[in-house]
Amino acid sequence: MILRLTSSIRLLVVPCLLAAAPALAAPLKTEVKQKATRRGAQVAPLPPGPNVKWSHGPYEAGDCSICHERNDRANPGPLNVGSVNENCYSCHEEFQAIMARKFKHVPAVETCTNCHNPHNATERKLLGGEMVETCVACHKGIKAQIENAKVKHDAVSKGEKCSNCHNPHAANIEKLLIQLPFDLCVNCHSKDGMTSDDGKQMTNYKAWLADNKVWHEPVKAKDCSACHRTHGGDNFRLLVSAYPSTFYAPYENKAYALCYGCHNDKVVSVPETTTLTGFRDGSRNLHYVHVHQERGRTCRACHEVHASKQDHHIRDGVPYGPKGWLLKINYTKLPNGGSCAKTCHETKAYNNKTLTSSAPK
Amino acid sequence: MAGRRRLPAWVVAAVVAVAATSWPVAGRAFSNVEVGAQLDNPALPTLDGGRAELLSRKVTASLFVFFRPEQDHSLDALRDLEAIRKELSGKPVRFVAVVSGSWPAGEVRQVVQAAGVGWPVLIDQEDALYGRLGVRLHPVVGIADRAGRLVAYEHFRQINFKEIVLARLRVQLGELQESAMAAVLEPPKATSGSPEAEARRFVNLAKALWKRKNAAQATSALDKSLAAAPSAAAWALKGEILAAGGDCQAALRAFEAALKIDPADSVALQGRQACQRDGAH
Repeated sequence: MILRLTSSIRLLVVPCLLAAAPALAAPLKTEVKQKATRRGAQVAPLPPGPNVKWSHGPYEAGDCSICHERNDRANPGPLNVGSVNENCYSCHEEFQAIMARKFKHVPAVETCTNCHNPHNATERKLLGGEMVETCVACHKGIKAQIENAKVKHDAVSKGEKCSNCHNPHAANIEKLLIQLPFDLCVNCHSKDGMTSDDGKQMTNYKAWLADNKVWHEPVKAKDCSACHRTHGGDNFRLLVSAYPSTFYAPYENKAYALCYGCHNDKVVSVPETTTLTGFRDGSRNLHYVHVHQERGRTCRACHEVHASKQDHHIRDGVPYGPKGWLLKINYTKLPNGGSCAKTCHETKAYNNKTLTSSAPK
Repeated sequence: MAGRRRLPAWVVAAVVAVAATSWPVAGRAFSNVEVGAQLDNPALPTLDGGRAELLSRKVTASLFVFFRPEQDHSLDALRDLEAIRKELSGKPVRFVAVVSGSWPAGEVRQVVQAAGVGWPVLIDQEDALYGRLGVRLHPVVGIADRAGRLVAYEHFRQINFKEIVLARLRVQLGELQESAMAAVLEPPKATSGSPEAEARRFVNLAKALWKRKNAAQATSALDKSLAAAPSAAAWALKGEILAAGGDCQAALRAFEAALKIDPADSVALQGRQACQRDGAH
């Protein structure tokens, strides 16, 4: 289903690319559910009309008694069996197994007619209304995200819409996800030539990960939603919170809210440490040195956030200048630390096995 | 981050001495400690003014979680872990939380209370334990066995964190096979429909219609079933309807089609026998 969303999917999540939108702080929570009145679907048959394109098999067969007490359209009476769902499962028998999954959608457990019209409908799957409207009738938080997002995600509005990623009945994964996030994302984000709304080329993640074997922990865990707000958001690349979009930026903690969602800010924010990072010369914290400047080097200057060839997610090089000339980083891991050969600065080595630096500061 | 306490110089010196002897090694788990390695068991001051060890030799599983205030993931993780603790209530599992000594106690208490955590909160002064293990991420969970060996490491995930940690503990408790972890880490795809399921649905509808002697609609439903995925049940019922309508030639063809898919299909076997006995009309 998701594969149908070919080049129309425009928004990808590549924080290492320079993007235009400003990074705004946003809460990491992406799921805000509110209870709302259910039973949104109309249960009675819709009058015939050009938009009523879908009909349920028993209704189409014209025999009300398959589900109801009497075969009388004017007065069919109650259902043959106790509950709506039991009635449905007598034909839709696969749903007994589906609804035995660990994570169940409460409206589906309650009654199928919370979302489906059992007779006929204007929507596929006999939905009582357009899918996104049906879902956000209860999921008010998601509705607000979708409507207010400065950066939209086409997966929400194209193809199977909500069902691109969620099973609305039951699933084996939280949030009723059909698969783990990464497996869902690469259904679309594994193509060459995709571009975002700002015209930037988006990464083919299957190819990128195959070529770069040092994966960031959220990538290893297939947890794209650790960093990306999949329903839409305010930050470039659908990032859940602020991350500098440029190579240089003056340091302030809140600008790196995305990274500090998991990483310890002190790894960067304290000038001296002997415990928090290996990127130190003696006790001199070299993260601090790089970042705490008016033209501080942002994380992207040295790190490739999804996957890299080198340890510590250090990237091979960075695009430099208007033509995107690749400036090699030339990092070398050494037994007692590491070194960067002349590129951004003169060749420098660091030693994290001693308590004091041997190099000039 | 304002308001953090400064520690005495002797603590700093001790931490520096410890740190100087350790360096991260590559591999899964904490930067400095692999799964399977023996853990130190330091006794650390606790938030409530006491002292507690990181691990317990009296339980089958000692879970420790590094967390920090002012972080959504930490609060979520602590809540998930407290839910797990309740779920495993009465079982030999011990929970402790570890927080950097640089955080004001009041802020730590706020998070702990918000998460409903009542287990010991250990204060990691000058991040000595953090540095020794090579923690790097918050929140992160380690699980040790009775002998103090690290048996599992899990950093926070937005999706299925609770499921995974609970499963890790169940493996350690002997309630779940290690081999079952693969399905926890990679749950099966939650599909809804399949051509076979659609085909069965139409067979069920056809049965209901045929029960009401609506041969035309039942046959129509069976044709839809066969178009979705041919099955012995659909062909056999179609044969039954055709035979009842007196068309044994066509019924025989349907029964043969059913038996080609399932040679033991009883409806098709009986139908074919009846048609052969009565002669094809």
